[in-house]
Amino acid sequence: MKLRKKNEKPWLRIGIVAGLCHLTLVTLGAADIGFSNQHWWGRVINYYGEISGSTFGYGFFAPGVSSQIRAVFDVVESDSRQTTRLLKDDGNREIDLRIGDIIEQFIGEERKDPLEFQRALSASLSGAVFIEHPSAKSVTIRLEKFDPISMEEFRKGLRPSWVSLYSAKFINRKGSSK
Amino acid sequence: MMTSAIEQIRLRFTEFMLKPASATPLAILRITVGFTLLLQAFMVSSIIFKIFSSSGYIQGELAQALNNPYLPQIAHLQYLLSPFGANETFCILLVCFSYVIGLFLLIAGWQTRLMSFLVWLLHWILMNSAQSTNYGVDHYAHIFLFYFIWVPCGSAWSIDAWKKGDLNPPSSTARIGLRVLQLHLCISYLMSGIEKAQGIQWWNGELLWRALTLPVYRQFDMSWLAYWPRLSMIAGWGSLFLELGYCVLIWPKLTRKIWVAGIIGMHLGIFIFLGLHLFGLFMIFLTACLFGLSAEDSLLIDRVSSK
Repeated sequence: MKLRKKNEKPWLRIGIVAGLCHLTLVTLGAADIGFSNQHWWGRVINYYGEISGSTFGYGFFAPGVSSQIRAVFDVVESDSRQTTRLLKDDGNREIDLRIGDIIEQFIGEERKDPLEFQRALSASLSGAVFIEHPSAKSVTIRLEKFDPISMEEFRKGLRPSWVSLYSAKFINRKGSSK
Repeated sequence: MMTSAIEQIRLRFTEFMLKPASATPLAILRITVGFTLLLQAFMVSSIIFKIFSSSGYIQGELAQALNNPYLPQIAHLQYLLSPFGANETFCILLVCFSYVIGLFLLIAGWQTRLMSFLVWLLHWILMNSAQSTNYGVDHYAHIFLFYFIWVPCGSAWSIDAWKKGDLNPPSSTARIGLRVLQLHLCISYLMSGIEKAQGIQWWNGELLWRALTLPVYRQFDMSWLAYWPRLSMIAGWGSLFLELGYCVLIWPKLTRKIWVAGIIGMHLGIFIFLGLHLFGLFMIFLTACLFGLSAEDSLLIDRVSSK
């Protein structure tokens, strides 16, 4: 009783109510229950969710592990020498994960025109490779998919491998005209 | 009878939320989160222009299509500063340098609330400027940096506290802050556990096997695990048990130490075997600080209550 009287400051009560409201939004966000943007209050709650992170989900590795996508680049230099490289491969895990997330965009969210998006992303990534190889004649991006196999399949002798999904070749017109 | 029961619940709840607590767990969380984010900044420093520039990996209009235009980002800052001659490179460097300096000051606890706001805002701008590169650690960092603005994480182990000369007096605001952060962590583990439990891979042992053999996470040759499927299955069940039980069994003194140790062990496993170093570290710090450290600084609480 003594404790309650001592702490009966209105702003502490406001703090508790605000905290509980926030945690309610956290729970709804984690349960993937969203608010429509059609109403002003829905927009306010959704924006607050972005500001506070209260609408984020926590389904890491859920419901399971699916496939992995990688992008491999074949670079043909001005002297016709060909090299094969990844976007970045310097053993830095943090960079690997971030680049992996970019590549995952190829098969990530549903898009209005997935082929157009793939073409645009391929062009963008190949453009970044051209910046590092300014004299290259062409850059071919190869998208490959790795489907993990089950333990039983592995015991039976099967081994997973990278399977080609998509490829696109970009030519450096400036370079070839020289 | 009914009224006294309700009053009893009200008193219990009030004590749970308002009993004066030491700000030490919040302060140590501020420092450890700050160090983890500094480490992250150092690790990605070599590709900042690749991920934030319009001539980087995601170029021009594609960047605009992948980022939410209504959220603050470097491109907006560039638009605002362009009349003063600021170009994209300058804006990227300005945000990144300010963020790193802000992190140092947040760790030191100088103007902690202001620094918390600054670091949260800059971190959010960086997240929004390269949304396709974000993953779990960024989401958790955004959530907890936002909390740092509101909770008294600068009341202990900080320049602010040292300048005031107080001995980290226990406060109800520290208790509210601690409880909200603790409850958030409980919700996140519960919901994560529920989502995982819906996937068959978590029950039949395939999850761990697939994750450990997927190139992006593969750190060691774990092919031997295919001949020990029960081991993988038990590890999957163990993770589900830890996550689903977290929201209840982290509270009683009897099980708290076991759960803190179990969760730290699980994230240590993620750190070592899946190579998710920063994510593993971040999650270890969250549970270790919020549930592993005591907020009951009995000596000081006694001193305050005797006044």
